[in-house]
Amino acid sequence: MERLYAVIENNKVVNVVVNMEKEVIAANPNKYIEYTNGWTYPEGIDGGKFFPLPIVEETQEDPA
Amino acid sequence: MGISTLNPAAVAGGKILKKVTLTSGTSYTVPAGVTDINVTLVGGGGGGGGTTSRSVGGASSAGGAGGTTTFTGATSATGGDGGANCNWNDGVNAGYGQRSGVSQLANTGLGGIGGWNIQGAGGSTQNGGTNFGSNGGNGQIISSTLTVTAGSSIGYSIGSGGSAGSAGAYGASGGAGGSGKIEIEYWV
Repeated sequence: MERLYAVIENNKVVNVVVNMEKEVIAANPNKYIEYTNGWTYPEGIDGGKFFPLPIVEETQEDPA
Repeated sequence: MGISTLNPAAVAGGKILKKVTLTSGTSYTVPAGVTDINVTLVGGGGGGGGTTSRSVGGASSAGGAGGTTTFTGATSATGGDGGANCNWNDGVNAGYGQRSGVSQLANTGLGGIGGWNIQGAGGSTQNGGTNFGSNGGNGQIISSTLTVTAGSSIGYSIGSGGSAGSAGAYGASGGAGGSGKIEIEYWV
């Protein structure tokens, strides 16, 4: 199974890469966020074009 | 480091063409005696978009972009765009059904297939119609020729496949994009 990592620069996801070596991850703890099991939209991190937010449209029910 | 090496074919002049495929990892060591390499980078495919049919209860999301594949000294290959999602298109009454998108295999750089659903109208918040999430774009494929130093290490990264767009109410999710790869050729 591929292990997926988001590359973070200035609190924004700038790339997504696979199977980074453990040594590289350990040496850059603030640069990579693993999302193998899904992206959880961590607070303060802009997902950019890699993790776009759902489009939310709101409608109003007819009270009648 | 995920490396697979194809059996090289012998050629005239005593030289052999070797092909190496990098599917993971971050560092490549140039073999002894090698001073030039051809390197082809494949970006990750974008994820397919999701769909939904209901105007309340959850929207779908677009697929994520594929990751850029890089190799120091070579032109990077950008990942494919994520497929657009599709929310509650208005339409005629219809049946009901969903088909999730298709995820691509690793190291193909192919875009994920978008989700699809068809939905009959129901109540004031459930719009009938057919919704298609767009497929993700394929990753770029870019080749470069590099002058290298035998025994040196070259950093690289393999772009991952874009994330699949999520499904909203009564919808279908997209498929994830395939990750990229790097192919290296050299003569020894």
